[in-house]
Amino acid sequence: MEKSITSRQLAVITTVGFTITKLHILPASLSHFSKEALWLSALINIAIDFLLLLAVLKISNDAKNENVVLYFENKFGKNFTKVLCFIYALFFMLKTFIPIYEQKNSIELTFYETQPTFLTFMPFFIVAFYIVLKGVRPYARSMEISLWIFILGIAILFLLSSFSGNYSALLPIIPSNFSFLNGSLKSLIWFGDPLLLLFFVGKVKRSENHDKKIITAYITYAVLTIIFLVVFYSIFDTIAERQYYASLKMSKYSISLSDIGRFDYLGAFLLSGINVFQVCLPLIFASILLSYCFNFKNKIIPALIVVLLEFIISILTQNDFFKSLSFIQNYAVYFFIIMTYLLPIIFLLKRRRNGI
Amino acid sequence: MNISKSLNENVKNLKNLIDSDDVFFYNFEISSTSAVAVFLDSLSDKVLIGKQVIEPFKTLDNSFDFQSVLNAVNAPEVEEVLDVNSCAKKVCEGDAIIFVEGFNKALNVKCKKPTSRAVTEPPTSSVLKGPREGFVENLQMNTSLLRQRIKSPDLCIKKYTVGKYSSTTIEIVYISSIANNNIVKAVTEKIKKINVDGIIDSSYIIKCISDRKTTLFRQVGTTEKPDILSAKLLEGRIGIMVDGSPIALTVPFLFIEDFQSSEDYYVNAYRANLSRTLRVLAVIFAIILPSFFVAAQLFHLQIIPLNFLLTIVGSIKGIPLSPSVEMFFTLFIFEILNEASIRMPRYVGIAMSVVGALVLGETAVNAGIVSTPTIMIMALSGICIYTVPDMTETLSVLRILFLIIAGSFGGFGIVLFGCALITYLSDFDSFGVPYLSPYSPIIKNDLQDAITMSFYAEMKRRPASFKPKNVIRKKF
Repeated sequence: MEKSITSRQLAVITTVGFTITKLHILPASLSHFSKEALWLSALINIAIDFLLLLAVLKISNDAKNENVVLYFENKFGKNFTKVLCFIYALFFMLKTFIPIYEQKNSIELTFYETQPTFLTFMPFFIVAFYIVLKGVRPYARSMEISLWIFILGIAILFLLSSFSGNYSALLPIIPSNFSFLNGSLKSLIWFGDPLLLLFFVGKVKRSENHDKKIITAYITYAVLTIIFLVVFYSIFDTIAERQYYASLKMSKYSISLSDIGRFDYLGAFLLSGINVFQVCLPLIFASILLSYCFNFKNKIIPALIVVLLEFIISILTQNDFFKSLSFIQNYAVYFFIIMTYLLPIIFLLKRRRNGI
Repeated sequence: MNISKSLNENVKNLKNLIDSDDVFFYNFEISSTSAVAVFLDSLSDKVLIGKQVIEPFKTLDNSFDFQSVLNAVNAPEVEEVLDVNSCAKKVCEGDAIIFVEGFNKALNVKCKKPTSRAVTEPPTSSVLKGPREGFVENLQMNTSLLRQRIKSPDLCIKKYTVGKYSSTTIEIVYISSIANNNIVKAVTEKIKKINVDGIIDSSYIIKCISDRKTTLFRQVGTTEKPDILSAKLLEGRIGIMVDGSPIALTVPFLFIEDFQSSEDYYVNAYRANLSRTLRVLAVIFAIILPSFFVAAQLFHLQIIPLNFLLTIVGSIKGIPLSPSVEMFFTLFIFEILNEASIRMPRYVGIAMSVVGALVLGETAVNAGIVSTPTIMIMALSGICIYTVPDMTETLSVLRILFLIIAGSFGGFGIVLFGCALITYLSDFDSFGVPYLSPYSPIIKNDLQDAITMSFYAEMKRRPASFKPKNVIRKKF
């Protein structure tokens, strides 16, 4: 029997995990395309994701106690499910490329200003392997512990930065052109997180108000993200598009830092820890799916394959991240849309083979 | 080997089984029939054997049978034994065995002489407020201390004998109307499965019943105080008491328990909350502070406030060691002092403090081997580690690991190691109860008594983590 996680843990993953991945390059990227309407672009994507979330919740209600693989098998048969799972495993590995790189660059450029650095980031892959190996339940429990760290980290960040901004920089509220729509499309790769919840199907001990909890958690994530983007743009205004790794830079103008040092880095360290967990989630699913596709008897081999591949991709692209990012934003985004939004709709519409 | 009707044969067989000079064979007669009382000179109560066992036999007439011998004994715990091996075992436990010519059974009389020190306040958990009694090495005494606090028929005490050679008596104690049956069953099964030469102390039991044999973290709670054991039983835990050990064990054990002290329940809730918060911060300081200081000096100078940075720069001028080696050196000296001070005779203690604090510390700074901030950080970490005495072993190892990682990979290394630790602990269960409960998974009810605690009047329910049979603790 599979070990279960609770509805509350899933809600924590929704709030903490979804928010944490929006604090690095996304604000700068949104500012580049949407300027002061960055929050509007984000809001559109959050709204689209909300529809995806509703679809995922519907699927999880349909699936009852089945896990996602069984659910697919009942709809598409075994062979097609294997192909589907393999494609999703690859997709998750590719999807993780951006957050890993965000993490790596933010660590290298900010925390280790004077050191040769890939070596300092390499232990990440060892820890990632360990987390992937342990699987879903320890991950969910770790995220529950991370909730307190997240509250502390985000409180430090907001307290030190929210008073330094010029909020009139966000005016006009509704921009005259529609560039924010382009911003939405280009930043879509940072969204689509509710898809991850689909792969928790069958692993959750559902409480009575499961759906309500998840939706509340999603709204909390949405509010936090929008507030973060607003504060970010109010601080950096026209130079916002060059401020990558926003969470590490936002609070540096706080006057208290001259007395207490870069205290905000403590918050940044805490948040980077949570990011480690969140980066590992797609890798955990990739490992589980690979295990299903190739009938691996133990958990070590798929976990090793997944983490090694990420490691190799990171080494190969370490000097071309922004080129890769541009490629993903312009071309791979369509593959992303199919995998994240289109396929779940098909899952929802497709009737079960046995007609249940 | 069955007991024969021949007294001499029985004595001979028993002598073959216990070849020891402290076994006493006392020959006497019951109405002109030969009999022998066998007992250990070192363990058994000779006065009791004389007055309550042998003397009453004088009242028996010539036509006595075994039942009348049994009835004549004035001791409360008397039973008949049918084989010589059991006799040998009973004698070694401190009982007396009576063989009577013509009977193929023997009499076993419990007459172990209680040898125990007085009940005193345990040195490891002294309190300002609250009961001061502590367990001793005598199991009977410990059971009576527990019974004095829980005078309920629901207090169940199940006895087991463990250890091939030591035959140590172990008691599993729980409150039958509260404790979860599955946990009781799991504990009992684990105790029954123990197959070792001897149980010298309760710590042997910890090693035998722990799920993870090689872990750094405690999986079984320990206490030397009957009031703490009683409180834990009332919460739904299971206790294990071992003959010869003043330390009782409790399971399931949660990580948060180390931060809780018995005194927290005897003082004002405000003070208790303050103490618990301080303990948590102290533990974080104890393991992170030295490593964070090294990481900041090596990789993240921008974290250190400018004025403090200038102080550090002034103090490390001319010091030949790198920050991490310097911290390791200080830690090494600290651990040696610590190890020596625990084992040295008390009268050397004062001299050792002078040597440690003044000579080594001050001279090392003056000689330019270590800097003042490093000594200060290590001293703070050293003090912090003792705010939670039960975690000292774990924390001292973790501190070294964090230091190695910080010296090699800096702050992000600390973060990564922290993540790995959280994952490791999250995957941990103690008898089916999540180790990090009530924080992971979050159990709302149990948060009342975690790092922070509610007022006593508000804690109406028992901890839900242990899935007790009876949830309600009080009604007012």
